[in-house]
Amino acid sequence: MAGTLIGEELTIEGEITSEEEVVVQGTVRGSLTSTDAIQILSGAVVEADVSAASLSVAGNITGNVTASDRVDLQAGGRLVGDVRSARLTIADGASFKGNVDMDV
Amino acid sequence: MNSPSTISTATIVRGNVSGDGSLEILGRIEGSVSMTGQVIVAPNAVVKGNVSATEIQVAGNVLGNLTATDVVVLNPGARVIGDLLGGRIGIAEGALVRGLVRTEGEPPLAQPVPAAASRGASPAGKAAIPVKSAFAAPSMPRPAPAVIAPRPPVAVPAPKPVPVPVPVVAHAYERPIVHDPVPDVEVETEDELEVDEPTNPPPAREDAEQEHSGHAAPPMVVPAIRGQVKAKKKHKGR
Repeated sequence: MAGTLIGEELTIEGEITSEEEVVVQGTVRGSLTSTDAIQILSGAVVEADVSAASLSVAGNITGNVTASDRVDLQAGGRLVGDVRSARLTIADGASFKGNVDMDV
Repeated sequence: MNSPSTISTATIVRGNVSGDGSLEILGRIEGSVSMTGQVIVAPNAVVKGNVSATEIQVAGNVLGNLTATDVVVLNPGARVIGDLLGGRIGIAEGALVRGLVRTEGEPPLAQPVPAAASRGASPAGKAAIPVKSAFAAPSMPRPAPAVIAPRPPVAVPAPKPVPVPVPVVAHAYERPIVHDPVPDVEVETEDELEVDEPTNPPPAREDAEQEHSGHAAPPMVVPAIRGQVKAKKKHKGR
């Protein structure tokens, strides 16, 4: 895997921009942007605005989310913030609080 | 175990990165990096900020100080503008350094040894610069501007020792211009003497004699000073 991995014990405070896949297991505060996919794994804490092509969330996000393709909120995932994406799935067992804008 | 964190080649982080474990930097970080484990700066990676970790391996570009509790290693291709501080420091041939190199920790021998080691290491790194930069210039077109721009902050520590020299040193290096502070000091002492002499002497001598006759305890070495001090207090009290 050639992408960026933010491990469990890692904390980044600031702005992350990438053109590759970003996998977050740790903590990110600030902003997180990728032109590729972003995965927020279980146990991750993201207090940031997230922008990606596609986003899957199994961890914790507090912030607004924008995806050009899709957002998948998986079981155990928790998202507090507005979602702006063409497609959105929310699995059973996921937590979500916020507005959804699907560009209808 | 925790998989090592990676900042990939196409990723830019602007901010501070901290945590436990190891971190591999292939991309770009503009901010400080503070880890408890190993930090690897891969070839072509750029770090603009201070890096502290247990172990630091550099093959890329760093603009900032490297501080390791264990070891700092500069591999061939590394470009570092900043100070190196670590228990051990390794600089491979082909690595470029501009900054202070210092080893710390508990040296097994006397203190002069690490000092000599750091002195020996830094000239080696500097010596490699002209040679490598001359031959490797075509292979490093991109890092060059990045290195040139930040030179001022790094250049600051270097010139410091030159203008800073203490007056004493200036005398040794035959610079008469710097003698200015000396006459100033003399003037001040003269003023103090002039001020003290007219006010203190009369009461000081009287009280000093009285004290000696009364107690006889104070040693003969410092009687004049003590007498004056006490005399002032007593005089003010009366």
